[in-house]
Amino acid sequence: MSSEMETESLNDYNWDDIESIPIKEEASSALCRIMYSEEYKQQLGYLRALLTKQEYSARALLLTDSIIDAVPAHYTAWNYRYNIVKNIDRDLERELVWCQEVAYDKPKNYQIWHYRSLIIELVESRGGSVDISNETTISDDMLEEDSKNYHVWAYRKWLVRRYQLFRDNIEDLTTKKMIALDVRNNSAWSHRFFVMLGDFGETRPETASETVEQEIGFAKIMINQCPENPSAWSYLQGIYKLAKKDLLAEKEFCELYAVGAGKSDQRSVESRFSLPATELLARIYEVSQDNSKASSLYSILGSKYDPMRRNYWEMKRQRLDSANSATVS
Amino acid sequence: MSEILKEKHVKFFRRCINMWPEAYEAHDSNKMAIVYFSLAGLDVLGALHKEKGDDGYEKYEIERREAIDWVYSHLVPSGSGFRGSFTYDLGTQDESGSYDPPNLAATGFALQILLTLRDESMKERLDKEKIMGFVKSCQQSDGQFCPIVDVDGQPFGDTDLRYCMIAATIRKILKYQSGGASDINIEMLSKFTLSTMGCDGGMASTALTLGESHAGLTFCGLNTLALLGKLDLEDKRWDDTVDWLVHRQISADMAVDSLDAGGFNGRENKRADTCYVFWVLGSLVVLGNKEVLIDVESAKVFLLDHMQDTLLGGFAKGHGETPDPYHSFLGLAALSILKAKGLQSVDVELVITKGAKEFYETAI
Repeated sequence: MSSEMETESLNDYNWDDIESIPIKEEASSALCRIMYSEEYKQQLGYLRALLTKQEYSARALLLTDSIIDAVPAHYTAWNYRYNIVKNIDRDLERELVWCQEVAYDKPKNYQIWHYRSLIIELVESRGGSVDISNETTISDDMLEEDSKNYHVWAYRKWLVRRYQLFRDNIEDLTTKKMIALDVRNNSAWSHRFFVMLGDFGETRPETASETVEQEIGFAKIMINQCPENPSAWSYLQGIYKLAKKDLLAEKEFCELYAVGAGKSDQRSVESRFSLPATELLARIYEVSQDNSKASSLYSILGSKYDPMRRNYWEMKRQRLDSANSATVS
Repeated sequence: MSEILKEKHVKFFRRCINMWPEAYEAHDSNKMAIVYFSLAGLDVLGALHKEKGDDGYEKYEIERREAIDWVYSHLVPSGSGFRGSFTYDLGTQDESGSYDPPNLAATGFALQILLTLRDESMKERLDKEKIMGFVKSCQQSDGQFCPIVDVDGQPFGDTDLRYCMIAATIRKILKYQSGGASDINIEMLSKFTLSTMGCDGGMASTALTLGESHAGLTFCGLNTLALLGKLDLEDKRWDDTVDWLVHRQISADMAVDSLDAGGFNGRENKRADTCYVFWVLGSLVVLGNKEVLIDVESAKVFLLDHMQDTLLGGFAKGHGETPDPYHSFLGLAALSILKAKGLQSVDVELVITKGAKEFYETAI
């Protein structure tokens, strides 16, 4: 239960006028019965009565807090709470604090993030404004507990889009810090991509190309630290795809880490071998029509370096060979 | 490699649809989902229908008629859709403007359950036009779907590709024709679905482009397009999607924990999880039977030796976790795609058995 609610309890309100509507008694043949506790049955009985009356009141607001705590996916409780907030002129700052407490208390409650965004929209539709740095701090706190919480990251992207935080200093530093902490944190990479390039095509061309070059550089530094990390390679490729740049420019870079490439002998230590680099190199050979090289890389990927995906690499090789013979004939 | 512990799984699913202790109150909203996963799981095991299963499984046939009636008892009085559980039933006669609305997910699960139970009365008892009217009212202007309709008639609740797929599934099960008065906006829905695709070929949660690709949402997105008849398999853009999907299988070299080897993750650099074996394999099936591109043997080892609970039955999400109906059904459905012996085939598009799909062809 949230701290605000600790000072206020359901017993502080008078419920005498409410005739509880108990949950239907289920037949023994009913599927998926739950042995409800007396407390749960009592609260549900009141909620059902209030929902029927469509009562928008402070006691109803408090009751939804209990229900959402017990059943986080209770879809009408969320809907009802939102309408109570709108109808009783609830202080929206306090409602945001409530959201924060629910989030901290139940990190897996993902409905709360959608609900929070609704409250923020409500604040702004009434001419108010939201402290964005507070929003950032809350999501930072959540990510400290679970650095890959999908719903928190989605909320963070929503903030970036809504408040145009593209290339914002805080977002830049946060993602850099999180990637430094765990270079394999794909969520942090994904967020950085969105922050840096989520408005690609909407910005001035100079800004776009500057960002593209900068982020290619960033990806390569991080690849150098951990060449086998697929998230960084995927980031690099993603930039090329988004900006429609020719991947051929990265051929030599891939060769530094790939097997089977001409320069692989020059690699100083064996540990620098990178599977994603080898895969990207094969792709580069393929798009630059260097089919025999691509084909032999696909072969060696399947037979030696990535046998788990041998059927996939074989399919790639065969597709290439048949395209090849079609061209020749 | 371990065998599929059929008897244990049958008992597991039977327990799931029977009775839960007080500690499971939090799942009060999800009953229709729990029943769907459990009955569909029993169907994959061939333990639901006397006439379909081995002789040894006769004693497990559930009280079919009672189960069917239980599902219909969740239908709102107007017939426009199903509630998630009795908890929501306020006894309202007309749900519009009330807090007693049907729920999109519950409606999808209810229809899948009825097909699984081979309910012959679907044609008479379901009002296609009304149900599609409800589905249509859940669609937002950007094409995606919310789970319920607010008292003011507007869609309400969180949105993502799951609800998109559920809407498309309901439409398909009802065999609703394009151009019908209650049809959803298919163009907007496919446009939205495609917009969630990232640079790596996977799909993500939000209406924003460039979210973090997620295997479960990728299945929902691809299947939405397939259900709508909008999936163009010749489109070259799926090459990246296939590449991203096959890379979800974790090789021994890449595994953080050796027990993950052969399993699948839902996002880059994450741990293996039972459900993603199905979401990835299912996605590859939808993309034109490309499930043969993954390593079958190690996927089976992951599921049967590490995720199957030899004591309780069922399958867990990950190591050291307790089994649940969701992961148990998806684990078995994945094994069925992998052609493990003794399981019924699964229709990936409707996520029911092929037997239930055959029934669907004539029953609705």
